[in-house]
Amino acid sequence: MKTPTEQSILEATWQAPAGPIGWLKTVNQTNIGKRYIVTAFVFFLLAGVLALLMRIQLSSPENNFLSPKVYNQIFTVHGITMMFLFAIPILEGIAIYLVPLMIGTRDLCFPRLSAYSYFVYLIGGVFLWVTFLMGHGPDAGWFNYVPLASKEFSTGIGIDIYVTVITFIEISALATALELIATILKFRTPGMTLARIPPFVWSILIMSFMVVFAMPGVIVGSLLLALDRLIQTSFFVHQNGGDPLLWQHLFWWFGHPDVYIAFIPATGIVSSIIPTFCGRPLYGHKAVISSIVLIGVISFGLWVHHMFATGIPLHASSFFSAASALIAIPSGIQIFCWVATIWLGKPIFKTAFLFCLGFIATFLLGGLTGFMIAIVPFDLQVHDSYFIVAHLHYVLIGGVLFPIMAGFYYWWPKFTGKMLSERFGKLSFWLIFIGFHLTFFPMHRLGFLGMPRRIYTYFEELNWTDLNLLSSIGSYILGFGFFLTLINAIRSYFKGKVSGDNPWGGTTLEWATKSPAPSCNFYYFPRVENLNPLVDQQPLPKAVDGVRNDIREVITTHIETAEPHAVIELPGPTIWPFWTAVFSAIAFIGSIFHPFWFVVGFFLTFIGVTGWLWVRKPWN
Amino acid sequence: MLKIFIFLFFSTLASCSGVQSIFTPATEETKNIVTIWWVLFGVCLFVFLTVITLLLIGLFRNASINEDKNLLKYLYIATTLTVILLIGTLVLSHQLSPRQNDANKGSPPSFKVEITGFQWWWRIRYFTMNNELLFETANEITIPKEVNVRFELLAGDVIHSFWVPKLAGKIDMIPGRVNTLNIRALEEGIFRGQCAEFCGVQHANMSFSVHVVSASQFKSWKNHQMKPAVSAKRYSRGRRIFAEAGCIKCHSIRNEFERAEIKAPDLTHLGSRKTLAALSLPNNLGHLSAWVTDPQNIKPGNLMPASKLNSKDLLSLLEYLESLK
Repeated sequence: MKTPTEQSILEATWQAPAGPIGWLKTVNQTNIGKRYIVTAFVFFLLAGVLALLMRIQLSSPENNFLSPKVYNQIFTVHGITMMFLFAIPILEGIAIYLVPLMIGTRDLCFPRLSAYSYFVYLIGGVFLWVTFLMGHGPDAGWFNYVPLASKEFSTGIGIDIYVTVITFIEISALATALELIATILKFRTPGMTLARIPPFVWSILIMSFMVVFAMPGVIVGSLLLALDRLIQTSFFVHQNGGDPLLWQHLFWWFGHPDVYIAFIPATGIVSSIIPTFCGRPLYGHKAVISSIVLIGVISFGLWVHHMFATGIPLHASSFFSAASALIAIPSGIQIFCWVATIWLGKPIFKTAFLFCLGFIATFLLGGLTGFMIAIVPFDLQVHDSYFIVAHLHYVLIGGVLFPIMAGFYYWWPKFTGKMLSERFGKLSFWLIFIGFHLTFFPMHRLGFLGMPRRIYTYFEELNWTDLNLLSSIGSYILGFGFFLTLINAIRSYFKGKVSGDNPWGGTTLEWATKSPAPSCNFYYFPRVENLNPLVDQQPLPKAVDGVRNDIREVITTHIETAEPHAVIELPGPTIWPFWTAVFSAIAFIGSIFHPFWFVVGFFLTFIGVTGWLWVRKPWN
Repeated sequence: MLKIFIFLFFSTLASCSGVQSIFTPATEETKNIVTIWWVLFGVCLFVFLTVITLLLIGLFRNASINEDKNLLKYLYIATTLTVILLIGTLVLSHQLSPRQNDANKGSPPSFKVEITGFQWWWRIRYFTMNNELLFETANEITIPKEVNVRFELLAGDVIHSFWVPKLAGKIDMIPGRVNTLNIRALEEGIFRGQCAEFCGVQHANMSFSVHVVSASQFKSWKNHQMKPAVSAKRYSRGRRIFAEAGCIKCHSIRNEFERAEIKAPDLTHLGSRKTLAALSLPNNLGHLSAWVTDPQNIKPGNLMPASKLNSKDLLSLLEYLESLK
């Protein structure tokens, strides 16, 4: 260990600037990560409120609580917020915070890019919600099918806002993904070979590669749609030789992997938590990693299963049907490994672990219904019915949100240095678990009874009333469960018990430093000798000497062997990523109202990037 | 918890009555789909119970296993079993899949039905097999029992999806494409269907019905539909109002009024239809009056403007329309 003075120099070097202007200048990964998590959680609560409003509307037949116009905006904004403003950003936020800690480095490799991607995300999300609350929300669903979303059938600015927000999130997600890939491959602490990367970091690496391959689909799609709407090109207009199905292909090329982009990091969280609470390493580490790689690859061959009802040829649908069923194999292997870890260990039932168990049970059901709808004739009956609503919420809440909640309870001490109340946590878990199944299980049957998705009302004769009421009651129990966790977090933040550095006995590097992590993450670069360095490597040996304290220096290592390569200096705080984000917002948001703003924003962005990259004189 | 869960699961499956339930099928295809569901359900229930049982045993047993290697064997077994179940189920369901091509049992039909989805109603046209138009109607389809009827599905504006759960799985209606569907109903009755692809503000109220009748009933229905509508002389005032109030911009009545633009249903035999506004209302004078005077209250956002007729004119108009049997 270094002497306290050296530590304080190091901390001062990496310290984020203070004050409101300093807030805009901050580039540290721990700060940006926390901002992502808090912002995404706020969006989650907002979208959750929308879901509760929809459940009031559907709780009785021919209800007049919401008008169809408002209902359509609500379900659209609910979908967009949950997918684009919550699921992906919160996982990116967790990754931004934890990945450098887990691989033993001091920051992400492009700190200013993380600040930029956060501001872009924030502006995009706030813009969507402000316009929605002013009554201009998009109303063609998060999938935004043309021609309904074309200028002819959606004349307002709602769809333009959709296209803009999607573009924002694409930029933000792509920037973060590239940064995470580069960081994971080049910034691992000496000794952390590929085989010693923790499962969560692996899952983030795969997620990031998936983002890089999937996002271009929707980037092209939303660009073409923007052109169709703004300057009357006809990419999707069949009268002029375009094709409405092209949008569906482009959208689902992204949209299906998107589900796995959220799901894979979630399994990474589960693979980090289960071993800790079972008191032993993850069973079948290699099998788990291979499985998530496989899921990542296969998920790009499934997109047409969203389009079985469009009348595609039998051979094509057979291929996508088989590919969709195939995903059961790697998922099954992962579940096997988690169950095996539990068998081999001695489980301790903390809240985070309960959420993992809730995840296994719920995701399993969602996966099984997913297998059912891979079978084409069955899918043609339940497609776009409430059976699908049930299925997708089992997969996304069970498969993604439960792990996020587990991660929240598990890493909260890491983020804040405080403990959450276990009593509140367990109560919250049971309310969420029971509320969830009460809300979504009846929807399977509603689908069987012929209830289509996205309808704002229904007639009593259709026999859907009781199940809808049950579902609505469940949704309030579910909502209350999340509310309890919110209370728990606020309480803990102000007067929670101090947690200590490693309250759960975690074995990966993020627990090797102080909780909450100091500005520099680690006081020295540790040398990692195995997969769980904290088990038999205490205290962690120092890997290298001579990294400077007074500037933001980090070491880079070899991609495969993680032997030290070079020392590089990371850029420090600056206001320019913020301005660049504002300028790109002027370009994209302005173009909704007049194409002129795009030109203005373009040149302003150019100035922003120049300021961002301005070379400082070395003696400063 | 698990018990409640399993109870819920079974109660979900039991008693599947409902106007649009997929569990009371009326064609061979949909019957096969129910069989496929039971196969899928069996396989999935087996997998679910196995995993949950193993998980629970793992959580609550006292002794712990130290040897990792034994488990590897089980990993192989589990994976092999998964693969076998997957392939088995895929093959089986493929065998049971509806085959549109060899459903040519029964007498060959002399007509086909073209259905075009519009925001938010269904245009229905009957053609001979040589593409000669027989007649047009809206929202209510009538077909004979045990005849393999060919449906051609089109979209007039945005994407819609044609779904009658008891007769067939859904097929999308996509602008610029023609999708086809063959239905051979085995039972007589009225089968409700609904648009299954989100199509705008009134997606929820875009329903239709398929009336399956005997061959002779169908013949007389068809002959009746092919005749133009006749209304008695005493309704001539209503007929004049229909023209003057602007109804004819969007609605047509065969041999009488031709609409300028196809945006709303043909009303030739309106009086003989059972429902109004794509199954939103039962068809009678009172409901028709409510619909004509304030359509935006019944289907907010639909394309029909409210009429501003005085009560005397309104009554004449309604009586005229209802007389179009």
